[in-house]
Amino acid sequence: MTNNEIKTVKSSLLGEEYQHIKHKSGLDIYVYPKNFSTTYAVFGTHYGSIDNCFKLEGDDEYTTVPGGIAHFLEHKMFTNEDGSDSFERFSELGADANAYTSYDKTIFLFSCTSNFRECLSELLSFVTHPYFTKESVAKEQGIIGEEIGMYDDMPNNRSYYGMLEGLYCEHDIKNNICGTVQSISRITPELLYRCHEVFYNLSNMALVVCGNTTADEVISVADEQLSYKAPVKIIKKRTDEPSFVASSRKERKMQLAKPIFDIGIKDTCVPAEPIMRERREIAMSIVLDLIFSQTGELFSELYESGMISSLLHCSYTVSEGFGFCAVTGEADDPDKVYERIKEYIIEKRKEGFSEEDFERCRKVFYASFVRGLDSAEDIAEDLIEHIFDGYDYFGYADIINEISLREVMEIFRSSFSEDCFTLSAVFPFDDKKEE
Amino acid sequence: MIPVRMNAGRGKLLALKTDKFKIELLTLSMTFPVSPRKRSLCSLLFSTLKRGCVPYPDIASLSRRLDDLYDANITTMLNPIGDSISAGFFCECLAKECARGDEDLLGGTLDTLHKMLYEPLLDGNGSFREKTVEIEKKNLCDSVRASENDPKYRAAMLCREVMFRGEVSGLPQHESVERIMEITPRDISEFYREYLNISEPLFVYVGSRDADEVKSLIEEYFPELGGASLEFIRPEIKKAPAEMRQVEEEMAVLQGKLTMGFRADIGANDPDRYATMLLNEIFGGSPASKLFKNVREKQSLCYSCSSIYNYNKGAIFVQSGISNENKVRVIGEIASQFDDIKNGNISEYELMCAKRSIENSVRQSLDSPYSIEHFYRARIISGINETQDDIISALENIEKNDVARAASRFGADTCAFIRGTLAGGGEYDEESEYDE
Repeated sequence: MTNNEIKTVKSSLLGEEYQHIKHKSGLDIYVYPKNFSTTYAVFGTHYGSIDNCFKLEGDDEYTTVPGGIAHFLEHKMFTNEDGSDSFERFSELGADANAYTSYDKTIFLFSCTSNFRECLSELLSFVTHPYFTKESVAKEQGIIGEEIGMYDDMPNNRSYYGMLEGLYCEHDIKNNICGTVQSISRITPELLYRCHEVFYNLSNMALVVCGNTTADEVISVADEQLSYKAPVKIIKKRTDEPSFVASSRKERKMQLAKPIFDIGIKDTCVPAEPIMRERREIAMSIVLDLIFSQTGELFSELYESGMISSLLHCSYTVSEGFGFCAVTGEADDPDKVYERIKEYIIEKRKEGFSEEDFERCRKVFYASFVRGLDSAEDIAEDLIEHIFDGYDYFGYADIINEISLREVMEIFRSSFSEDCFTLSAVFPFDDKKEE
Repeated sequence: MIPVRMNAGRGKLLALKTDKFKIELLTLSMTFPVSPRKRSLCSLLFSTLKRGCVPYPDIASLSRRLDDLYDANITTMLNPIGDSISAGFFCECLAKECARGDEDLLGGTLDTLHKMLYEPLLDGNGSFREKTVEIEKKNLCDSVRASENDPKYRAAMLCREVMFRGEVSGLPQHESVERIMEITPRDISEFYREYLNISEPLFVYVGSRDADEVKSLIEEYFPELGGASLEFIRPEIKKAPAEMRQVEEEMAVLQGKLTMGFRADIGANDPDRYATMLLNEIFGGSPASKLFKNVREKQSLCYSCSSIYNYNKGAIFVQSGISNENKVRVIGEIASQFDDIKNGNISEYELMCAKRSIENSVRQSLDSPYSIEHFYRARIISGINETQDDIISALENIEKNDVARAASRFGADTCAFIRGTLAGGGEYDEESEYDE
């Protein structure tokens, strides 16, 4: 490709727009100008903790890598060949930089109020120029070992992973994003270079910039920093996951005051088509809100009777090949709450939701999307999520507008079956309740 | 965005007009001297008020009303500022032009808050209902116990308790669990009546309306709220003792948690406050800081090691999660990095990074209605008259020797450590820890 192709994407409903640039390097760039002081940029790869067995089209064999390597690679990218550290470079420019790894994405980002051009150059440069040595890998193993220890001491984190282990028999999503002290000890510079070569190809990446900038400015920096690389086709090996849960209940004991729980509900009907997945994501989120929000009768019943002591936080996570609902809370007796929730869901699948509650919920989702447009950070992070998931960003508001109660009920009734539930609970060490 | 100040109802309004956001934010707060009992009473009062009011008699109907207003939010505020507490409500809703429909969303939100405040659910004796209060007391106790069992939070609290012993800031945030359980519905009802007149209310608005329009709304819904203006109590400012105090507790966790407090006689109005902001940034405020570069990056002793500055108390706190066996080494390294700054070992590069980092944070805060509101409210209450631009200008003129001078006024005061008793095995034993 020798030229950049630019397209403007508009939402008449929201009165917002952004530009999509198919850059000549092969990178997809999205520029969302906003009248903020802050400019927020995210540069990411569609690669995360579940991508541990892969090959490029044409390769004979799969490469298998240790758990936690995507997160390890994210950490190591900030160290440069000349001995400099990109974190420091951003500080020098007065910008905040960070990075994170999820199941299927690794994101590098910065936010700044000045020196945008220099910051963007740095971001594009350090993410595309890997440099690893045995010594620097060994040093990072110590830092990440402490990070793993930190998360292991967090009851919420342990409860959540307990839920994933209960939901999934085989899928890598059940494994900690950071890996374990043992798995990261097997990481070598050679493996890091291999992962970078495969997954940090520009055809597998995207850049989103939101804030006080223009498409021309972003393109001119990309022209300087990025050169064309032939796109790659990555084949990721996934293990077959049965439709039932691995375990219906897990518990552990930790240092905490009151039991906490995560209820997981496995979605076994995740559509392969991104547009259908996006619709399903919205429908499932509406179902969860109708069941668990403060406006519902279930929350009132559980709270007023003292069975739960805080809000129930619920979410639906979906990507290619997996999907699940998670409901998190605090309760003296998580098992009792779990049983009541299952019972209530069975009742609601039969009787359905009222049109009035559904319309109110639609308003809440619309307002929540509009609120996100007040933040360069929210826009950039949501947009890159949508891009990697193959979703249409503004389409979200359109689907909220047009989705019907009937469609939501169909999705509700085709999922949430009893064998898809699991409970993970963490009890205090001295809790009277014995397993 | 030019701040407009005017009287509104019995209080003061600060209106910050801007078309930048798709939401409007109006806060109502009253500031009064804090004590563990007042804080617990206030917390219980607010959670009881959120359970419903006469027109919306339960959580569900109150939430439905707010959802009908395009998911308007009424959340409570209990912000310690110095030795006082700023207690009140955030009212946030979509700007009118962003919603579909004719209802004035901010008006509807204020009307709902008015009903929560002035039409609470009381029993025949004019007290809050016993059953409601009992549940909220239990929930508050759970939250107090949860904090006590969080090693990071516990290390921070332990450090404060020792460092500020004998001062208001050294008191626990809440009453003990036993004392909370002794609070009666009558106590909360009495505090409710006291709260309505406890001090002069402060209203802060961020959004697209003119100040006069906001004033009219306040006078429509809250004409009687508030009492006399109270003088802001300046917190005690003290130097650190000659020798650092050390305190340690144990918890059944893997990783040790450390909080180290440094203290100086530098109050909120001290000329060295701006130099101290830079001192904190150079010490542990960013990835370019001495703590990040040396404790984490060079020595791999931790995942995080950073510092925060409390300008009302003239205190800097360092927090880190470390292996037990590295405790002495980490404390020594933190102290040595601070001494480096005292001795003037600050490069021009470090000073420049620190200035740019603070400038960036200050400018970024202008992109959030909540940050803008907090910036102005905290300064009005503390009696500090400055804007975001004032901070940036003041920092520009500060030099290395100013930072070293500010650092030399500090001493290491207290180190609190929570020792992890599960440490040694490296990780939780997966097989024995899980039961199905």
